[in-house]
Amino acid sequence: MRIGVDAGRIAHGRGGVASYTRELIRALAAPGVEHEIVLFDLDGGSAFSAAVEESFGSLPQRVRIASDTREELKNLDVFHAPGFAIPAVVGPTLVFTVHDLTVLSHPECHTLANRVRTLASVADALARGATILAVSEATRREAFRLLALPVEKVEVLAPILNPCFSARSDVQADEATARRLGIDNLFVMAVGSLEPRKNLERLLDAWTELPDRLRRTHQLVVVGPDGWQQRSILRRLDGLVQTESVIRAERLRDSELAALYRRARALVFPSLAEGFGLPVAEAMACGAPVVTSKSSSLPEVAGDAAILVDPEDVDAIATAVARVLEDEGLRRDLRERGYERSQSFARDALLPRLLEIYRRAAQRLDV
Amino acid sequence: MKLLIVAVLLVAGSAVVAVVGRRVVRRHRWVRRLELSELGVEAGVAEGRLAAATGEALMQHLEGLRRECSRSAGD
Repeated sequence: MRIGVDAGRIAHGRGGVASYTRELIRALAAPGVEHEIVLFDLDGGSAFSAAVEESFGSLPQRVRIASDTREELKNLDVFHAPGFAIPAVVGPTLVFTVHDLTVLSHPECHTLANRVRTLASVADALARGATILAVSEATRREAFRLLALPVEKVEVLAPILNPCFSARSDVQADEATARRLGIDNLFVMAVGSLEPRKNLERLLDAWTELPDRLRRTHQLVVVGPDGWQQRSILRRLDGLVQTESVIRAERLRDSELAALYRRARALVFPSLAEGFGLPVAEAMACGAPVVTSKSSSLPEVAGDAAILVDPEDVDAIATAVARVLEDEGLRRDLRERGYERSQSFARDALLPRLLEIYRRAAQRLDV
Repeated sequence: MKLLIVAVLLVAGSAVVAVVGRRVVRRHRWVRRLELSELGVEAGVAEGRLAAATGEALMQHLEGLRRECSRSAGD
């Protein structure tokens, strides 16, 4: 098969969709896959080739950047749109990833621009008869609830994790990463862009509710870029960075993030709504105990390997964090179960199914 | 002095007009984008690529968002 992938997000985007796209391409470029892969940048831009080279280094010969977008789109068996852009020409069969439908379920958590772009893209893909790929069962259920999209018409395939999210560590390198960020104590991590949906403010409230002995012996490391409607979050965060043992790291490479997960006492991810919740899977793969929300896709991703809390209940978040920090047996149990759970998001577990979805889409077989 | 005040007012006024103008243009572009998607959905349903119920749900969301954009463009 000749498979086209819109890889524009790795050059122009960030966050979960860019990670998803990067790992998708890495998986398709892996040894053992024989299909021809053509990378497109539907958003257009001069930085694309450089971004591809920076992300993947050298790629096998069968993976290449499209030289003429318009002409090459006509000669594909299937085109995967992992972001929001879809090709204007009606040539190849389209596979479209729906990362979440929070623009419909939680419109207050999105800019108007983002709502327009996401809804228009989903509508265009559906109108074109695309094969829809949801990143979780929860997202598939949301597609039925909000768009009356029959569940049997939607494929579910979790994002592929970057293999660097692994419990195998170079202890000295991990330690150096932590030291460079100013971490000199035991610590808890919070990961996600600074926007209301990630619920960081309640997590900060919960942090200040922890008993003194825990706050004296632990730091809170907040990892994530600036986001939308972040002014009050930033104000609160800055205040705590001054007075409490809170550290902010805006942007980290995956390898650095993995190093922190491996050393963290816990990841706390009390997001209000997610389509998947990548940090939960990443932390579990690195052996970090997880406290997360009992809403949206997060219970599905976490399985029985995390402590689930009501994300709107500050006391519940604080109690769960304290439990994990004080109970070594619980941490060990969560680490073991989390690691086992994370194996279902590994490349080897997901790639065969992805290729089967492409094959069926190319042959225009119903899902 | 009077000239200076007039100049400052003119500069400030043009900056406001530019900001408001950009905002209106952007919102009109969004409205147009949503209208195109609505046309696509109608065609998808008519040509059998899309179930009627899904088409109807999409149209409701698209129309609602388009109205929201139109309202704020007219602010």
